[in-house]
Amino acid sequence: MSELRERLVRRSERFDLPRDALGRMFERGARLQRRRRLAAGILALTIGVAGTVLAFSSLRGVGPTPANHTTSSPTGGSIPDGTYWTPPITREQITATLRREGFTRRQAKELYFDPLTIPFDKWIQQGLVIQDGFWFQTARNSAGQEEAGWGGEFHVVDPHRVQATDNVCTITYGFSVSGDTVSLRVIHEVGPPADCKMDVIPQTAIYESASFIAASATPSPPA
Amino acid sequence: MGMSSRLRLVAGTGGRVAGPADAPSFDAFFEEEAQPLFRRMCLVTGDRSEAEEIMQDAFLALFERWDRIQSIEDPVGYLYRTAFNRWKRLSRRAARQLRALTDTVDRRDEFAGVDDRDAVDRGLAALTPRQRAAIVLTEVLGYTSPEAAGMLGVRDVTVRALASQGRATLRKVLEER
Repeated sequence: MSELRERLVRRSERFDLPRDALGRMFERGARLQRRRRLAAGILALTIGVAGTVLAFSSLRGVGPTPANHTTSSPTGGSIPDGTYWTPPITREQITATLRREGFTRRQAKELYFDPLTIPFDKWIQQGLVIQDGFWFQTARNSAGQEEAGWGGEFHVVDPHRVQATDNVCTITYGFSVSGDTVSLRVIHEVGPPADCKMDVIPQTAIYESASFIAASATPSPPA
Repeated sequence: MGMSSRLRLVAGTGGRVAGPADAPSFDAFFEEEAQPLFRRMCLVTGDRSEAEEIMQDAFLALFERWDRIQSIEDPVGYLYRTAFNRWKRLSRRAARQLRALTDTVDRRDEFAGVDDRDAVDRGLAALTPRQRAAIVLTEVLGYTSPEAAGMLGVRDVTVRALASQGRATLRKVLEER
């Protein structure tokens, strides 16, 4: 054992877990579950009310026409394990995506571009790693710098929807798989508002600006 | 991203390697791995509360799927990956909050407030959280750079740079005494 490692290990041994650590952990689990249930209840209520209004409007013939999303998933209704990258995406493309979804340029700047920990110079590629039920999001810029993004577990809800969670926020995505390409759209995100409320903006920027292509099939980005 | 058996021996207090035929109960797994994980996360975060929260979340994530996880080859590796994943998220959120707030955030750092008697604490206080994470993963837990890179979501060259800067700072501080 190197001296440095020995000193670090010795230092760490001065940190002791509080008593009844297991009980404290389950208490936290129960608290988080209550919060999730509450958030899910509110969401269900909102959807119920919205559905009722929509149904009522449709009956009167004045309702909006639902969007026609592509939902073909010829891979058996799941996203195959692997690493996926979008083609290089410019700032203008991301801004246009967010504007199309009703967000402002300022929101795009403050909630997507500014929090990036890597410089956004020419373009950015969004990355997605699907592995053993885990979902990791990453990004890299034209200088080759990488940023670690969100990560959590996910499960397939039905052949067109997946739900990813990190025990705080739970995000539901619509997806379609066609060959090597995975297209995603953010349906909704639930969880404590402080953590999850404004996350829909970066989520939209990341997942809806371009489709994801399996790494082996992704063309090399321009220099 | 697999982990070496060397790591499993280092990470656990008892060094027992659990396999499918020797699957521990969740309570036994917690008993064996909670303290080491908490201590490593204390080194990374410099904050007992944050370290405990990360540790709890990592174990909760495993608990929810324990029937599957107990039989995988390396549940300890899975646990650490989950914990670092959670740490990344918390760091990102903290950075976002820092940018959003004009007031100073009152965040307690175990290493920042210590008197200068403890050189290790001073050394750790001089590192960034990312450098601490790289040092803990490579130096204390024995991960290779590519393995640590996978957990931190950066390139292995970045891990090497972070660990090297961290080691240099720590050695400098330790040699000052």
